[in-house]
Amino acid sequence: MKDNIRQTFGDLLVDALRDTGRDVSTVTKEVRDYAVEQMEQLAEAVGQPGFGLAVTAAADNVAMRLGISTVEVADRADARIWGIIAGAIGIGARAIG
Amino acid sequence: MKNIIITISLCLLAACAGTRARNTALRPVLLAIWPRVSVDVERGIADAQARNAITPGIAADLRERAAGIARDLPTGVRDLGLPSEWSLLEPYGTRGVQILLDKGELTPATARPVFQRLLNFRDSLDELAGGEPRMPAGMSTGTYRWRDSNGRVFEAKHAVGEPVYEANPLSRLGVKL
Repeated sequence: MKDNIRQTFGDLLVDALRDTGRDVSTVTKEVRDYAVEQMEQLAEAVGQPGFGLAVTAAADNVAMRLGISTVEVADRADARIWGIIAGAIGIGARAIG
Repeated sequence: MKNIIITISLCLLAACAGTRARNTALRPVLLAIWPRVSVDVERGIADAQARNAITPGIAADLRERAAGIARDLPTGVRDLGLPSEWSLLEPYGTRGVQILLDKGELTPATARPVFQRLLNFRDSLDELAGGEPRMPAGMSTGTYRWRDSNGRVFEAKHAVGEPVYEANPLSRLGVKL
């Protein structure tokens, strides 16, 4: 079950980024795994103080990993990207938490 | 001769592609994240100053360095110097997050990604500086560890295994954090 959620989460994240018009052809397995790892860490924190702050930080972490892997995650600071990543991570964490 | 020119051209193209990628992908991400990271840094500086762990002069210097990152990050004119500037500020960011942990506004589980953000910010500045993460003198490698107010030890593995700065580089100058 959890493996399915992990797989689905990774697919949804990539699809959501693609929907913003970004080139996602170079979203590496490393970045995708990192996003899943962030989500799984958050699953341990659902309902705890600072969960919202943690989701934001996790989204920032994934965005930086995307940036380092030189994906065109944003040609400007695009709040939609963070919204997508943070939303996906937060929902995924609650799903497996 | 022709082969040499082609080789040099390819190298220049590759270098330009790397620079473009850093400017179009990573820089906007860091610009968007900096306000959130700098809040943690400022909290740590204010706390250190309140505890007289640093003098007002050092606090002012640290704030000037933070302002310098905010000023220079968008332009890229000082990318090579940003990692060393951040190495002085990062311990205060760590302290800033630790304060939230001690106050109960974060738990060890919710603090983890916030601590990791500091590490990723450093990696990203290293990347902006154009190369592999470098280990300045006096820095150590390993896993990032911290304690909560009950003395329990937690750790965050560094995302890709790069070096981790020591807890307080200013300790070499006799400054407590």
